[in-house]
Amino acid sequence: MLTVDSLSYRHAHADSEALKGVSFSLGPGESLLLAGRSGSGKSTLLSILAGLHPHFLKGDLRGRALLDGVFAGQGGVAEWGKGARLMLQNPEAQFFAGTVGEEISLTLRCRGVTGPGAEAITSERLGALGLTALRDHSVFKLSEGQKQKAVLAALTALRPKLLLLDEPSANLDPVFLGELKSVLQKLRHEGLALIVADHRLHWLSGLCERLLVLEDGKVALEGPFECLGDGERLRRLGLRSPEPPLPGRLPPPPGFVAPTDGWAARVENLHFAYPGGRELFGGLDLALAGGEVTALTGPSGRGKTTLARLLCGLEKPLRGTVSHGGKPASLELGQVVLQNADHQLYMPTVLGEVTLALGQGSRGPRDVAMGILEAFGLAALSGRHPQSLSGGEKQRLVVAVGLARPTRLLALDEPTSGLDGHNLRLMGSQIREAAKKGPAVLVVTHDLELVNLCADRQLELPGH
Amino acid sequence: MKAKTLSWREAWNGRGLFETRELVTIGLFSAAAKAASLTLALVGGGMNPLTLVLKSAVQSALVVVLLAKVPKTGTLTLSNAVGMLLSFLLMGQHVISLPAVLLGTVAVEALAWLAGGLARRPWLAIPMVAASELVVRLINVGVSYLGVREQPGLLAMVIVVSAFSYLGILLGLAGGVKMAKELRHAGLIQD
Amino acid sequence: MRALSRIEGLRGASRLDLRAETRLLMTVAASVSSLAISEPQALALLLSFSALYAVIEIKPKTLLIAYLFMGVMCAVALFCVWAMGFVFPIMRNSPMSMAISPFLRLGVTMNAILPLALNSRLTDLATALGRLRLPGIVRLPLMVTIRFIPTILNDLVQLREAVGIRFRGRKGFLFWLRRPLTWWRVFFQPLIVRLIRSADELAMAAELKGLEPGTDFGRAPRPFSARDRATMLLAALAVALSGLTQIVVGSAF
Repeated sequence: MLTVDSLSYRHAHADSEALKGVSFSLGPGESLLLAGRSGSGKSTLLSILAGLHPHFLKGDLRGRALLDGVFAGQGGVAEWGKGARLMLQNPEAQFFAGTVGEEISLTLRCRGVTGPGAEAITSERLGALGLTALRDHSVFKLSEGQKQKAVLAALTALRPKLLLLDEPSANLDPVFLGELKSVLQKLRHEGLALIVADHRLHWLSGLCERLLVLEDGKVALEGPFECLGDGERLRRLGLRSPEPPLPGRLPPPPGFVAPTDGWAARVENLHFAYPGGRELFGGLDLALAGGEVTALTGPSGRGKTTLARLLCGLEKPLRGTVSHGGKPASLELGQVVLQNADHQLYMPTVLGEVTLALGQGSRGPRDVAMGILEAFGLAALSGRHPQSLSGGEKQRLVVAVGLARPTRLLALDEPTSGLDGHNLRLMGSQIREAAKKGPAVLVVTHDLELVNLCADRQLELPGH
Repeated sequence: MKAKTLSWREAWNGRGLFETRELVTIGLFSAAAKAASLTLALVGGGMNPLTLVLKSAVQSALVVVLLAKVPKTGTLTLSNAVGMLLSFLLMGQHVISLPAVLLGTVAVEALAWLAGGLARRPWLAIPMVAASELVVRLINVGVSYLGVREQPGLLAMVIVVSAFSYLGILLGLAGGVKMAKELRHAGLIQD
Repeated sequence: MRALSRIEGLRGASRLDLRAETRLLMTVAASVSSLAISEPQALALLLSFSALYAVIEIKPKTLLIAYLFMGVMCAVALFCVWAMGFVFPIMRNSPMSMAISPFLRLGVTMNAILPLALNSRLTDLATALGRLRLPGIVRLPLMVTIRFIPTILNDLVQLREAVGIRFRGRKGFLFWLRRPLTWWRVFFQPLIVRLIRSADELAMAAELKGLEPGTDFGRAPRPFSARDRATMLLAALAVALSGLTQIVVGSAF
């Protein structure tokens, strides 16, 4: 069905090729895992297979990709898109209509399907993906998992032959990941071929029977899913482990403790709910010790990020107290690094970013800043514009900035979402190093691989 | 190969003039201008002179960066058209000023095209935004005069507000030019 | 976002359940006719009709808040004119009967815009503009604008919070007043970067979806109802009657 033969691609304005002679084939109902470290060419390959060249991607393409004998991109993106559809990493970027039902109708309208036929397809897809109750729901109010399902419903409305998924697991918790896996299994049984590009590999076991690993644009490994093998090969290819991480091995942090100054952060009888929302915490007791890394895990929407915000003084408890060494929680004593790195980088250079943090608006000492960058493996990039860094480098920079000033508590919100195995291991070791300097480190995460890499304790918030 | 002839409907919808990606970019920048304006008004109060200056500065800087990202004749006109239509839909701004503003912006774009066009002379973005925003304000004052012609004293308020916001436009031009340069340096805007 | 949910609370189920085109045409008619008419009697007639439309379409509490707000704005404006009269005596010469015309005009426009802004979904309005032959080249960016304003508002909230964290809660007015260039950099630069990245991502998503300049994002409209037709007919009558009053009263003076 799909034949990719010696495919090479060079982006416009680029010096080197992003893809170098990639070849593989895929039959109906088959599925392939596309792995590789960040920048290895996975997204470029998916974009070409989605037909975005030459209309959208204007670089130089050699070789060929054929779907049932038709060249990729032939007849424009829309025409090719009847056969192959691409789900981007951020599902929200793919919504143009207001509600779930309208989104599917809009997709159909864009392909010329209207009237009762469109209505029937919309109802069928909503039913198939378990979204019937959400038909008139605003797309803004969906959870991450529901957004993924809504996008899948729209993408599969016209029964394509090939579905391409770019980093579908990046923002999903283990529960939604399981749901996504069963939805994809179901689509495979409908005869759809899948190509999944992802850094998290463990959830794809049993879904993708084959894998293709890219390294610097070339095929580095091809074979059955099980061929990934031992740790050394994974490390060399910059991949995460294909083995499911073992949950629940770590002790929880202490609950009620005596009111001494020895704890970096203490939570006593915490009650909290957002206005008009359900109660997230009803009498929580918690103590975090300096020098320890505590992982905060649990299903989406259960209040993990809210607890981190409460611990840093960004939210005020309805009842109870949150304190740092006996003083009320505040941003003077606790530091939080938010999920979106782009929102936290302001200066024209990487060095300037750290000196700003050190000097509170004026210029901080350069040698101290360079020392911090050195510790995070960013010294060689000190003169670069922060926005020109890769995702992993940006994540490390915002953590470095968070640690630039002394703090009793450092809270990190999903620091490894979208990171490859190499960057995951680097981030894990740097979180451990950060804790050695004294603060209590709280890591809010869905990523159980990170928990296993760096946490001393784990607090699992239960589902509702 | 024979060029495909556009149907009247395709021509009216502007097919061939702009690519979908360019239209999406124009829409997104207009959304940012409106969202920033709403946020500043909510934080600082709608009629606060400082808010007026800041709102306009952000607006003109966004347009300068947009013109660096989509350096085409027609970008400014489309951006202004979207902004004005949205003002009409959200706040009932007098619909009568819309055609006048569009004509004014088209005239500014025509002059810029005669001077070599944005793609060849990116610096033209500065006089283009300065001139089109001046036209917008003059037309708004004119339309406001029609609304308060029996009590022209009320026009003084409109003139003061327009003057403050134009000051913001001029300040924002400098910020926008600097930001466009930096984005080119970071590789986020291609030459 | 909290302010937006407050606005959400002002919305109410429309009793007339009009099509977006009807509300658009009502607003255009109010805007153009109120500018064309100048006699207070004619404007008062127009105001009465438009107030009837607003009372039927808008929640009483919302209407009351809007009228109170307009009253305060008018009082401030009149005070300014009165104060300016001491500097420019010519400003004290307008007869009071004529001085109320601008405020009547404001009332007419407000009565027409409230149902449009509060009872219509923006996507329906933009789709309606398409049916009123707005070119697709304007409609596509307008649709994108409408769709992404809430997303960007949410981004701005996050941005404000990130700045608050970096500057350890010093978000106060005076702190930033002393550092205007830092303010510009920390708020504007991340916003622009986010926009540029989103623009590329969205453009790709739009291409993949097959969106084109003529594509409508909104729901398919229901047919024009008897209420739509009656509302437009009454509006036309109101405009004609006010125009007639303008001619009659104008020639009497």
